[in-house]
Amino acid sequence: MSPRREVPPGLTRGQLDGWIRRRTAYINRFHVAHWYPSCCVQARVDLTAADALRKRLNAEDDQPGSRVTINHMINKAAANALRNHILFNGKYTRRDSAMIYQRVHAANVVDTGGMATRIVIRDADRLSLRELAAETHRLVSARRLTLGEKLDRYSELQEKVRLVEAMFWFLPYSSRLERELSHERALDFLVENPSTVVITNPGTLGVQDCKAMLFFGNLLTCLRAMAIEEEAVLEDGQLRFRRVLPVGLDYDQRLCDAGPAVRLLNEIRRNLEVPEPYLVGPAVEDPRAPLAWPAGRGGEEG
Amino acid sequence: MPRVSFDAAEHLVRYRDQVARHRFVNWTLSVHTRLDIDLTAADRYLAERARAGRTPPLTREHLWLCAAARVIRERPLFNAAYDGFRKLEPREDIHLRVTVERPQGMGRGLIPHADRLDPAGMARALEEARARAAEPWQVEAPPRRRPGRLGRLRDELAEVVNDYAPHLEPRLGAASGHDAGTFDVVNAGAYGAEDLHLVVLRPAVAALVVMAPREDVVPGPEVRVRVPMAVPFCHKVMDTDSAGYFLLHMQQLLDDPGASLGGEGGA
Amino acid sequence: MSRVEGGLEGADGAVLTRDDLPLAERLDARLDQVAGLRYQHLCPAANLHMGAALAALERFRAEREARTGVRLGLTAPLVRAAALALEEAPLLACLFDGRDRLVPAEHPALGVSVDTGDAARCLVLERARGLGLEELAVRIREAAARFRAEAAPAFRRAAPGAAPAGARRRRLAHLLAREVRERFAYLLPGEVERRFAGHAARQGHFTVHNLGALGVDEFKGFLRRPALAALWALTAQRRVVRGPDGRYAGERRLPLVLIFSQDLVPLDQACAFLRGIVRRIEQPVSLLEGAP
Repeated sequence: MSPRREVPPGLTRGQLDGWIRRRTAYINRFHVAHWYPSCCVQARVDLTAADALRKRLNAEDDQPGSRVTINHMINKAAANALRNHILFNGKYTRRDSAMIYQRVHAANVVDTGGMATRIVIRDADRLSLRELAAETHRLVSARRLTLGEKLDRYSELQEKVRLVEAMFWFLPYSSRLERELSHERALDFLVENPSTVVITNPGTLGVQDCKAMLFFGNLLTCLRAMAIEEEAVLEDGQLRFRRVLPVGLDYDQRLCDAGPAVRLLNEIRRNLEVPEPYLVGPAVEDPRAPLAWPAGRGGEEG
Repeated sequence: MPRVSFDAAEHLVRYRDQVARHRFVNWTLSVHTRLDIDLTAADRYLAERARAGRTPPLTREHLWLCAAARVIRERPLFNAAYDGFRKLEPREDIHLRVTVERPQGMGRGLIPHADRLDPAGMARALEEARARAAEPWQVEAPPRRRPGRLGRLRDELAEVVNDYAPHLEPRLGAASGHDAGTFDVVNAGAYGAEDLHLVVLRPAVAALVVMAPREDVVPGPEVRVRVPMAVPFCHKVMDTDSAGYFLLHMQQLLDDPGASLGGEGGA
Repeated sequence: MSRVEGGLEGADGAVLTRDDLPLAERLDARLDQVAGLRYQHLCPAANLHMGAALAALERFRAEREARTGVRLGLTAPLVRAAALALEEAPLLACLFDGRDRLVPAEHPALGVSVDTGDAARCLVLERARGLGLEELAVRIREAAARFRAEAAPAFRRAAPGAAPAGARRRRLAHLLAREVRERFAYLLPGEVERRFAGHAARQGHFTVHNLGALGVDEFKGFLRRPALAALWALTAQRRVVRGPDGRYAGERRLPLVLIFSQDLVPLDQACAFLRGIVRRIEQPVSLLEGAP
């Protein structure tokens, strides 16, 4: 028998109308014009070493506000790897233009019971694993406390927006039109903006695979962590089980081919499988990495 | 092996409506969400039923179809019709559109009011659906298409207008078209698929794809039969959690099929 | 490319500093693709996965390599299996403009994608059905070596000084004209056929990608018109299975992904095609069927 999980009830028929009104922002964000042809590569990460490290760190400091979880380790591994593959740390701005950021601000998708929301961990690569864990705990608790109120306010705002839209139906599309017609801000580097990469963890729901047909939004890269599995392996003829984590990377096929994307994914895998040198402290920069941030180019520091 | 004869022109004429249905304005941003469903309990139930000599003989497919219909009844969001913009209409009846195997190839059958059927009723309904199955190229209500190059140009310009102003779509006489049934179940495992990512077309908001069963060695050690199931969904309407809970709910029902699916659905 | 103190040495021997903003150059070069590949040019792509047991192919390869002296690798048997399977599924080698033109290939050309370290390049094998395993292996290996030798260095010198006046406007005009040409090609007589021929010459009617060496366990991709399908092979995995005697044993499996256009290719035909490839890999003697 499979392990029991709590399954919350679905929306009732009466709630559907309110539900779709609440999702106005999602409807605009996931408009077909914002998609781009993405590919997803996925690798299975052996968690043996990461589990040992997590247990050791939590034994040293068991305060709930700084406990390290696998989720924090995934975020840290991804942020550290991006330091050497900065090409993937960016977003589209206008049509045919993209920005690459020097600083790695990792957005983390948090399920708050029915509505996904994001927290942004700034400079995730510069924090230590412990600092990242503490920052995540702090942001998630704050978001959970305020989200209910914000959702109500958001719904009220949407009502008002609907009234305006009734008069100016093109308003949600004006920004898109501007974006479509403008090639202006191509390759504008060194711009401050929160969230340069998104990391999501549907694995907490038990989901074993999750990929979009085409990627959405304006970020260049999305990382997904799936449910941890117990994988059987044979070692010297003996059967044993190891915990493996499937990690997926969505990238834009137009900006790079599979090779560079897989090399980023392999670095994330290495950071998790050899955590002591690569995961605990700030990112280890590889001066030979061909897609690292150009040395000597300033950027927003501090 | 001799080369198979193939008439491209004839194929294109047959699939003309499918091509029209699949134009990009009808795509949803289909997020594929997969969970491996453990069917050990379901298999035990089927074996006990077979030993008792009860008819009609049941298969796993009948059980998961029943489970899917019951989950949809509890989660009406998955049965809604969505215009791709702001209109989400719940639908009262649950009519499953299922893939069926036939000697002449895959067909699409319809199981009306699937949530009212118990597994035995589902077995009978599936046979009827197989007998009356539509060809894979048939579309219940295809969108309008104008002939010729200029017709294509006009269609594409209308698509551009729809793209920028979806409010105007009904006024322009454009429509997404639709397939039979209210929810699609694709048994890709019947053809050996180990995973399948589909594109969901509006007005549907999701579909269920069932893959070939797999034997996994799990701690014990023991061997478990698992069937990967996926729910690709429209991301405008829901997030991964909704699809994940759909699949977890399926797992709960299939963990105890005698109690959860055995009796009348009681719609 | 070798590394020197304080900068990077390009293939032409010039020493570049990192201030040349290689990322900007790289993005600029790829943005042509961003402009040229919009959602209107894509197929509704379904991704179909199946695995093939590798034990028989590994034995077959070892025997054959010992006899012929030619290292076969995995790509050549895969391409051969695809060429044979396409005979049973000619639909998948057709080219389709998305609406009115579906053109079958009399002798399908197969594209083989090769990773050059930075970007992928495609080797096109004309009349691939007529090529034997050893010839395929040799041609693929030679092409991979050639592509890697020719690969542009990751860093190129930025154009010195400011861009010439009007360059930006000309670039925008170029991007717009490209998009109009892509979008409305069907309005010009013969243009679609010319594009089909160009596609077949660049990528073949059906493309095979082997990501095995890169370490990829799963893959999901999309497909650009006019192709109707493409095949991806991933890194071989070792699964533990229980044999009939109750003992556990390791089994190497090759994950395969077929991406096909959902509008025109019915699911059962796509599955039958991929099963055909799996069958040939699991029974590799069939790869010699009709070999020259």
